[in-house]
This record gives sequence, structure tokens and C-alpha cells, in this order.
Amino acid sequence: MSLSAVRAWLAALRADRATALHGAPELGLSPAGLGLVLEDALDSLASLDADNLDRALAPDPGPWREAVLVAARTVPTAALEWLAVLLARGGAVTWKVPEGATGLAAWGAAHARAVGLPLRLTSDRAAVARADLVVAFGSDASIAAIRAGARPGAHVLGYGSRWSAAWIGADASDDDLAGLARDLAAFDGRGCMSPAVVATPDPDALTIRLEPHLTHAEHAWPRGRLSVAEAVDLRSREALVRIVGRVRSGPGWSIHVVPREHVEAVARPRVAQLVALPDETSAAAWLAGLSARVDTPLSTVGTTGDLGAWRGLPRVTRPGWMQRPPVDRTHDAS
Amino acid sequence: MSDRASLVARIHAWIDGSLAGHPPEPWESLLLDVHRWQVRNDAGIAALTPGPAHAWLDVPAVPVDVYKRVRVGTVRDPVPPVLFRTSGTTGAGRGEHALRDTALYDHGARAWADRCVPGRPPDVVALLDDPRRAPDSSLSHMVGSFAEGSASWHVHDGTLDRDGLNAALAASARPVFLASTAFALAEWLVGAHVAAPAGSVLMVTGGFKGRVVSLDDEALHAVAARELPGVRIVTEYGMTELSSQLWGWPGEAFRPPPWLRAVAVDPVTGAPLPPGSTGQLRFYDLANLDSSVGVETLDVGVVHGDGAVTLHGRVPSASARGCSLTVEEAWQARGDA
Repeated sequence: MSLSAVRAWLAALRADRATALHGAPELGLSPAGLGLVLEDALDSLASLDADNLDRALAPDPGPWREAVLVAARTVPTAALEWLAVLLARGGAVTWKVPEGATGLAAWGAAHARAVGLPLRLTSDRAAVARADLVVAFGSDASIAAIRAGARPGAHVLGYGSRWSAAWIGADASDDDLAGLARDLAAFDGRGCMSPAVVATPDPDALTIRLEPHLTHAEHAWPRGRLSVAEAVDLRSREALVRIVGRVRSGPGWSIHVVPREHVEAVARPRVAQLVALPDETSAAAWLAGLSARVDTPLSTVGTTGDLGAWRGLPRVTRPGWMQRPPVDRTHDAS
Repeated sequence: MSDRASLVARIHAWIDGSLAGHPPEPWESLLLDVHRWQVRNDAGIAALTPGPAHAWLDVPAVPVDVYKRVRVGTVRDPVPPVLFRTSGTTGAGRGEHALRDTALYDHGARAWADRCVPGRPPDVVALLDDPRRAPDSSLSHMVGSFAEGSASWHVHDGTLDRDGLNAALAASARPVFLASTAFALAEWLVGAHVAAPAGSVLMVTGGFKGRVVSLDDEALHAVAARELPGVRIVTEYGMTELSSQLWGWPGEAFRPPPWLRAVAVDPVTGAPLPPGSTGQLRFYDLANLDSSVGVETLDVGVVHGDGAVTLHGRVPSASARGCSLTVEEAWQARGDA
């Protein structure tokens, strides 16, 4: 086990995080936006110990001869979290990154090698075929392709398509709304734990209360660069919502109040998609139904209400913590 | 205040007048009147209009994806008199364009086709579905309206009827107007096919969006020219959400009719770009009376100084969200690309 080396690595990353903030333009996040999620990841990993390491890797804690992490462009710090866990367990680890996405990866890998951790960086898809453990992030189609490319007998943990939602009750506090705004800001909404849908009894009332928090979040962690595809999609979606619902927008954010029949289980950059549901129980049922209709599982729910109302979900937490999962969270990998 | 009948008459007169070289009024003032009528009669268009439009570029362009989600325009009948649907080649949902009638559509389509394709043969042989079987296909409807002689249709439920097509061409004693999508044409030409009568006109439309396998336009036109000697090739660009079409020739830009204007916009900001710049294409079509005069497509291209349009492909689609790679990377991972 290399827990002490991993702790040294994480300390080095924290000390040198300024280098990372401006060195990863391919991520599309603003420096402050990247700083937010990087800080969250390092804070989460500060609690890494032998017990939660075992829980994080359950049911098969390893070690493995060689592990490969196939990283997503959209949630870069998930890679750091998994690398910390895999490297702490021991064995060689290869970090397979998308073509062109090398800024943050190069930074992380350089610090890992400096403390003697066996971390290799590659964009070569063939790395998957050599591993006996593959941890992969991607769409369902990507995961299927990766699974097909793994060698026989390899253990594949695939995090495919997921989405997340929030329940904001009428009694939500300002802290809850600040937390929701934070959840919407992290990763500019591209992560699977980003709240794609916010269910609430009175969306118009929530719109008014949420606006200043979104403005604050934009000021603290400005939205990064939108891709052409995202911008076109956002403009098209906003046109639809103006027709069927209501749109309120500010610099770098927007709130879409959408009738249920037009809700999409899709998170868009800094878009709060609000839907009216009378109470938490009906929200849980309706969101479960939506998840089934789009054939994509719910990953995380952030709720101001009763955590117990969301049985069966991998993770239920409070607003503000949706994008800050603990190291030893329940896996919904397949 | 305008009503539909008076606007139909004005648009009809504008089409005729423009083709004769003297439009009866400025295009922009008629477009704005149509837009104002649409705002008054369609709550959706009104919702997209933040304030009075004073120039044609102020008029909102409804994104084509919206046509897949809601009824756009003033025809609110549960079963519209005319309903065109997109072919659904690129994903979930089919866009719908509801019309009160096809009078303006047909008039504009024939008038501009007559101008761009002089000597268009009256007999039609189409690698398209029969409009009687597929009444929701605007392309089949348009081609059908060109048939002043005979018409035969040789795609059924998406399948090319190669034998029927070859037999129809072999039996044609005079030139035909051979109408096809690019995909059907490619499929026909790679298999057994007969020559079309000399003097025929081949209309090629559409591309390969949504297909895993594709062939670029230049290559397809070259194959067609080789395999169909003596046939004049023309290109057509239209869409379900518009009422008018643009025509061109291989290697040349598409020419819009005088009553349709195109603008390329910055796809990120939506701001109009100067002529000659590459951007996301929007069209403003006077004949689009029953839906929206402004339509924002997912096509990328250049609008030249003379208004002609060159296509350069499609806006990239948003990659799958969540912790995801792109589908293209998945294909590459399987070694299929």
C-alpha cells in the first residue's frame, strides 16, 4: 500500500494548484471554476485512510497488477480521486486521457512521479487491453466499447450515463439555495452529479430567491467557455422554454421553469431547470419515472427534505454537497 | 391590420413581381408585416419576440429543434390541413410544419424551380416515396408538384425499388426529371442501374447527416456524371421547416429565391456575421406564412455577398453529458472509424 506516497502527492497538488488553474484550457472551465472543483477533490481526499480505501474499492479491493483509469473530459477531478484510491492500493496505474486533454493530467502525473508513484499517462486506447482493472467514465456506448476492448477476465468498473436532480422545498433556507447554486456551478453543469432537474412546489417563487445566489456563484466561479455545440443547444433549448414555460437569465446563468412534459434529464451549463411538484414524495416518484423513461439512472439527489424519501438511490445528500461525494461513496458503477 | 388572406395576396404578388424584376414593395417591410401577424396569432412566436422588430434581423429565428417539440405557427387544428414532417435522420423526434394550405408553397417552389432549372422535363421519376403514401414529406410533395406529365416513385418505406426504377427509366421515351436524395442516389449508382434518357435532369438533395457511412457531394456528383452521361445535374437545398428552396449546380453555391434571405450567425453568440463568413445558417422566408418567417438551422455555411449559400456541414451536436466521452471516441475505441 502506498498511502503515505499518495498523501505526499496530494499535498504537492494542493501546494501547486495555481499551476493547474491556468494550464488546462481544454476543460473549458474558468480558472476559478477549476479551482472550486479541484479544492473540493483535494478536501475529499484529505480523509483517505486504510478503512475508507477498502470501502472505496469494495467489493474487490485489489491490489491489481495494472489498473487503467479512462478519464472523462467533463469531470477532470473524478480522475484525481480515483487515481489517489488506485495508487494508494498499490500497483501500476495508467491514466488514459482523451486526445488533447493533457494540461491537468500532465500536471497531476508529473507530481505523482516526483513522489515515486507508478503513474503513467497515455492517450493510447490500447492501454485498456493490458489492464486487469479498468475504471472508466463515459456514455453507455463508450463504456460498452471499453468493456469490449478489455482483456478477458479484467474487472471493469464503468460509470456510464447518469443524471442527478434536486428537491428544494418551500422551506429551503438561503444556505440551501447557495448550496444549490454551488452544485449548479461546479463543472459548469457537465458532471453526472450536476442537478439537471430541480423539483420544487413553486418554481416562480424559487426563481426569485435563487437569482442572487446564481449571480453570486457566477461572480465567485465564472462560467467557462461553452463549446459551439453547447451554445447552439442552449439557445435552442431556451427558445423552446420561452414558448412552453418561462426563462429568467443573467450573466452566465439561466433559470428555466418548465412544464413536466418538457423536462429533460439533461444538465446544461449553469441552467437551473425547475419543475413544479407539490411535495417531496411525489417528486421522488416523478423523477424515478423520468429516469425510467429516459433509461438513464439517477446518480445523486440533493434534498432540503427527508433523506429517507429517496430510497434505492446511490447517493442522497444536501444541496451544496451534490458535487462533493466522499471518497468511500456507494458505487453505481456497472 | 393584415389578415392571412391579404398577406397571401401580397406574398404571391411579391413572388411574381420579384421574378419579373419589379417587386411591388420592399422585401423587408413585407417580412416585418408577416412577422407582426405571426406575433399576434401565435403565442409561441410572441414569446420569442422581446420587442418590436424594426429590421429583418430583429425577427427571431425559431431553431429547427423547436419544431420537434411544439407546433410552431398559426395553424392550431389538431389535424392540420397540411402537415409536413422531417425524416428524422438525426435522432429522436420528427419536426412538424403545419400549413393552412400549400398554395404559397407550390407557387414559390414551381416559380423558382422554373427559373433555376429551365427546360425541366415534365415527367418525373423519383427516388422518393410517393406523396400519396407519404403525404408528410415536403420533398415528395414538391417533386410531385413538378410533374406536369407522368410521375413514378421508387422508394417505399425507406427501401429503394431498384428494379422498378430501372424499368421506369428504360421505358422512358423522353427526358425525365430524376429526383433523388444523395443517399438514395448513391445506393442506386453502386448497384445495377440503367442510364437516364439523354437530356434528363438529375436533382440531388440532402446529404449524409446521421449516417455512419458518408460520401462527399463532389464525389457523388462525379459518379453521377460518369454513370448518367448526358444528364444535367442540379442540386437542391430545402428543409421541412421552410416553404422555399435553394437551387444550385455541382461545385457552385445555392441560389435562394428573391423572397428568401439567408444570414450566417456566430453559433456561440447568435450574432449575425458579415457576408463571406462561415457560421450557423438562418433563413427568412416570406412564404413561411403559417409558421415562422425566421428559421435557425443546424447547418453551417457561408452566405455570400450576392445572397448565395455554400454549405459546410452541420453544427457539432452536444456530446453526451455526464461523465462522458464523445460518441466519436467510442467508435474509435471499437476501431470502427
